[in-house]
Amino acid sequence: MSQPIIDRLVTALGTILLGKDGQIRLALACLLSRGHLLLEDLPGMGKTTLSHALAKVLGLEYQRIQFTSDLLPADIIGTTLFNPGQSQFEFRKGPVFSEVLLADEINRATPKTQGALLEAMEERQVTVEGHSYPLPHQFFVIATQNPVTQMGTFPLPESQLDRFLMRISLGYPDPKVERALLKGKNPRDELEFLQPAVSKTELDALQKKVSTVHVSDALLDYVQRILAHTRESSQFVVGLSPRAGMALVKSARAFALVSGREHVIPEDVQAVLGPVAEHRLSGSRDVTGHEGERLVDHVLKHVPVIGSR
Amino acid sequence: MARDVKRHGFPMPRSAFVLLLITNVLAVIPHLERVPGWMLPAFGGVLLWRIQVFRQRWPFPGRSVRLLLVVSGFAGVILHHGTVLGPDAGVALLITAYLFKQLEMVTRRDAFLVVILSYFVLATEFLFSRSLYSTLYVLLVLVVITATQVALNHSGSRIAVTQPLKVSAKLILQSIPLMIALFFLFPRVGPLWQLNLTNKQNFIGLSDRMSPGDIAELSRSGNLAFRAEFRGDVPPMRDRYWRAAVFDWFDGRTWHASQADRFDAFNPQDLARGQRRYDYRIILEPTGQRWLMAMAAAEVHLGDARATGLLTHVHKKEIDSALSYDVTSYPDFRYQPDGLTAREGMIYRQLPATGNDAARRHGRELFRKAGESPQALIESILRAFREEEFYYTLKPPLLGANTVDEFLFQTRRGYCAHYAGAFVFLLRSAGIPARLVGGYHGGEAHPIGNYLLVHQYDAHAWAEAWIAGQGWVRVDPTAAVAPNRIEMGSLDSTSDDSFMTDSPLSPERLRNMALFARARLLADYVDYLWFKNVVSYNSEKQNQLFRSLLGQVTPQRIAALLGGVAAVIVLILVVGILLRHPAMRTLDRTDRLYLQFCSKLARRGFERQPGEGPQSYADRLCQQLPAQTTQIRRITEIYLTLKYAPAVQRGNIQQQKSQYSGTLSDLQKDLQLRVRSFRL
Amino acid sequence: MSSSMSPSSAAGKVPRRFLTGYIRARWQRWLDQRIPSTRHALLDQRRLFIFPTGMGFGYLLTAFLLFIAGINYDNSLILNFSFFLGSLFVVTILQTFSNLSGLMIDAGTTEPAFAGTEAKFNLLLAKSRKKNHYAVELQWHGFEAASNNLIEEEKIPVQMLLKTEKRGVFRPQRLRITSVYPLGIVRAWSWIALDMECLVYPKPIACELQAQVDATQADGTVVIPEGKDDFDGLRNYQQTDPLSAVDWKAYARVGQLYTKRFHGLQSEARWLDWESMPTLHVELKLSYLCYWVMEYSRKNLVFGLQLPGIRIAPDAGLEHQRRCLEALARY
Repeated sequence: MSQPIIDRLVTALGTILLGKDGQIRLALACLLSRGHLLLEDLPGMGKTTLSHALAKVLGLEYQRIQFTSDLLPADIIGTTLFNPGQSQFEFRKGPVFSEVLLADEINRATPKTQGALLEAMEERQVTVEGHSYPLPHQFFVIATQNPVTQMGTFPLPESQLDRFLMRISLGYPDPKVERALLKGKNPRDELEFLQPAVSKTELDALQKKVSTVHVSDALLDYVQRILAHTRESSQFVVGLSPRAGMALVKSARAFALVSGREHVIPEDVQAVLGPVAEHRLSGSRDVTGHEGERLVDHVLKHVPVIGSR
Repeated sequence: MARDVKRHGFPMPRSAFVLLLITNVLAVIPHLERVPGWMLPAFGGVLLWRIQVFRQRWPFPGRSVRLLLVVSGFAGVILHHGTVLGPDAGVALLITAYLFKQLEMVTRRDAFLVVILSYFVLATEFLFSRSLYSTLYVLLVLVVITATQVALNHSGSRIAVTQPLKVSAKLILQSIPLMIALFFLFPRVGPLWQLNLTNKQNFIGLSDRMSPGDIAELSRSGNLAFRAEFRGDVPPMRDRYWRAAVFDWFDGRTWHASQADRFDAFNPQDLARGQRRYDYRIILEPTGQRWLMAMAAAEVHLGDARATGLLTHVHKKEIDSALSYDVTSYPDFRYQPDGLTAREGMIYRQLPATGNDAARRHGRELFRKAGESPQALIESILRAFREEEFYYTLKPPLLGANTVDEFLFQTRRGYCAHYAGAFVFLLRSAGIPARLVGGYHGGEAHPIGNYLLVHQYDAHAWAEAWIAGQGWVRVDPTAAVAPNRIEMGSLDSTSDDSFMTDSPLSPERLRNMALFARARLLADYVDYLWFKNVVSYNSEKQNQLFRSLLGQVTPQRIAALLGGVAAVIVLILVVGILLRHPAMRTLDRTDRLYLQFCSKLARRGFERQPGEGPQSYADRLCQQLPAQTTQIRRITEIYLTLKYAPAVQRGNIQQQKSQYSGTLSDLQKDLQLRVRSFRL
Repeated sequence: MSSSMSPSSAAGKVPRRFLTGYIRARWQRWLDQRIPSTRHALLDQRRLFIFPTGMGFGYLLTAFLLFIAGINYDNSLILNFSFFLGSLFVVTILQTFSNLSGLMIDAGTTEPAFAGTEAKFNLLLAKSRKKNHYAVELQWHGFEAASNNLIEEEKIPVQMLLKTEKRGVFRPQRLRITSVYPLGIVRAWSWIALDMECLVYPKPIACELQAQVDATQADGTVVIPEGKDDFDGLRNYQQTDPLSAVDWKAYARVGQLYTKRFHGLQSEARWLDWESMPTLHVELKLSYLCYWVMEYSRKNLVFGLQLPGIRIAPDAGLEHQRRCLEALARY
């Protein structure tokens, strides 16, 4: 019953982002488990397109902020304005008060501005001058980021990366798709015509459904083996935290749902492990900050799927 | 820290210390009766000191104190025993060293040395006793010693005492089969050098002199003297005179064993055997003497035995350990009926120059009254013992200078030695050759084994008189006084409670209790079997065993037999110890079935990587093995359902495709079936 | 005959040190082949060695003496006692072997240390079979031993502190795993080469230092214009300015909203420069640099590190500190 909706979503997104079925499912899984998404890739790989498409397909009202180094926190969360006419202050809500916030190139803003956004993400409310303003019921941040090796950026600190449920890279398109692009097919054009594939109630129901996806003891054993491995092996400087473990199970549930299953199998965990764990891990020989991928490969290769605890 | 170790020893686990204390006590207990009396308090003091050291209340004694203790300890032992040689003194010295090593147990190595000394102390127990029960006791102590070692090597300081005991019991059980194989099959060789044992052990038993009180002493002992195992009938009580020694020289107070056996060899022509014969084997407990017990007239089938002209047999050397030998006895015999040599005539008429004048006169007078007939004289003396006021008791009054006079005319209370001694004295006074014979009489028939148990309380003395034409005739004057003593055996003959007063808890005292008596006899039987089959196992018996097992006995065959048996035992141990433990992975049945499936595929080169999930594996396989797609998919599906799907869903998968009810085990069966039938 | 003699006599003249060195090298090579370096080792018969301990020889001597005594006294029970000791020895060999076999050792994480302090090496002992391992002694070659039991737990982490001496990458030699349990008369052991290493930072040595302030570095300077520490001036109010920054006194005076501007103190990055260390000695330079890296990090200052061929951009925080220390360690 949830499957047709998911199929609809995947198909709709597939028309925009060609040949990126895996990433689309991951992104959907991320949003269905109500997690924030970080898209990380070089410029021009379709990050922005995917984020826009996601918001549109889910039928959510969205706002976009292009992060720059002169962006101030108030530009995101809103400002208290002095109304000279009435001689009083009023709070004008910033772009953060939307259902989907597309934060383009989040690593271009100063840490202060980043901090303001990440705080809102964590607490799902904004506090200005002592007043708390709750954010909408559906609230996602889809941030895009250029890899840290790029010049003139402020990489997100590890503690803040943790706020994103998943980090996804899109990667280069495969040759067939690229050829279509080169022929002149512009996904952004089709973005205009993209219609919501799901109603608000359906989305709610889907998100609720995620928590009912069955997780067996055998699967939890596997997850615990993974966690233990990251903590015990000397490849890792810091192991995965309990929060990361929870995120892993949650994402695996959503991914199983997106894959049309009502129980989680090890492949679901393996599929989401990279996006969930890469940005939370750092290796012992990690000087560049880009060891996550290698470490996740290590885990996937070495942690036995079948076995005792 | 180092200083602390010096004061209180290395940090020994508590359980190790407790076990070491128990070891000490248990190893020394059986020796306590042999060591000087001062050792018991010394032992207690040392243990107390050691406990206080362990509790860090007192330090170890200083070097000079230790030296003083050791020197005085050794000196005490040497003074007590008068020698450093011999088992008693040796063991006492060993125990002294063992004791004081306690006060020097600083390092782990010292503790190990104490353990090693415990082994020695324990093994020396076998110098004194080789009964089954001693062996079992030694085994028990071995468990404790081994447990001590386990506890010493355990790194946890807080382990219960029981844990090392369990480990040790297991180790010992595992080593027993190999030990048994070695015992029976390891080639026995003779002594490497001759041991000159000056044995001063206090054996209980007959000695080479008999003075008033000796046999009474013996009759208070419930110790076993020997066993006699009969091949045919067990002889009746009247034949059970176990001859050990002949006492022929009287000094007025004490009868001394004949020196004649040193000179006079047995001359077969002197002996006329009767028809009746008994074939039996004697298993003699150590006596410290050379006499071999047998019923006269005996042939002792033992290389080291020598027959004497006294119808006794002597062993080549003192019997320090249990000995067994075969005997044939001819109870209806005549010995030296034709006459004695002049020297013999002198010896057997010997009396001290003075003393006991009344008895001498009495003897001559009786002889005269009997008409100078030796038979009549014997009859009259026995009649006097039977009819006059003579009493049999093991607690006779003390006698003065003229023992025979006082006994015959005043006290008239005594036991076999008194009666037999007085009898011989009277006969010699009359000029008739006579002598005192010491040995045992009677014996308890064992209800299970066909053998007699002869105890020290069966010790007896009787007389022999030489009568022309008949030769030596056995006369037992005690029979005249206490016929019961002869007919029933020693236990029923006295009415007073003087019998066996030394051992109030001796099983003998309780022998009227039927159950207990049965248990005692059974225990003795087991011990007897133990001795017969194990303790007396020697190179001769080993050769018999080899012959029956190997046919032809060559060193190569013996080596092959020993090696083969040992190898089999060790192999069983290897399997039992090394390969017994199952692998740690606690896979459930479903996982095992699935892994079976995987290994079937792996044999064909389609190995599943440890990190590869079943679904991805199946996807990969289906590409490479299109023909098996259906099977692979189905197996994977069932496996995934069993492992990862909720219980509700298991039902669904079943309803779709099969007749099973959808329970867990049915699905497992399905999986099993499919995995078994899966072929590539 | 004589020709075959001469090589051996020539070998006899080889200095002893050379010979032992040769034997040791051969032994190492053999060991490396037999037990190669791994991150995970399962002790099995291929890797385990076994030999009596000193106490074991004492024990065997006891058994032998009792054997002689048994023969000479012709006492079959004393003889049997020695057979018992012999059998127990055989069983103990197997039990001691069994106590170690099936034990797994995993290399865990390491924690870097400063030269002269102790580096943490984390190991993981695990059972591979359903049996207990008692009194397992771990000892890195040249270091002190640590003893562990693995009884009920399936795996236990073991932390070993190894004293480091030299800066750089510290790779301990082989790890010896020993056990004499249960009786202490037989020793089973294995030498495993665990693929473990850790960084040893230079020993921090204090020195006087004029921190080089280098504001000309265009892309490395961290300027914090919107800092809060120092008052800088006023500018016209913009809508997004926080209200706390509005100069209300000025508003009361002139009716115009101004925003107070501040700038941060740390507008300039410090550089720790190789060249500016007051010594020529390489290790000492590294030690000085190490001291200042620690010092700046403790004060949470922003600094950069300049080594010949290596440049670490100014930053602050633990990660930055780690990066700098690693660069010093690996220099």
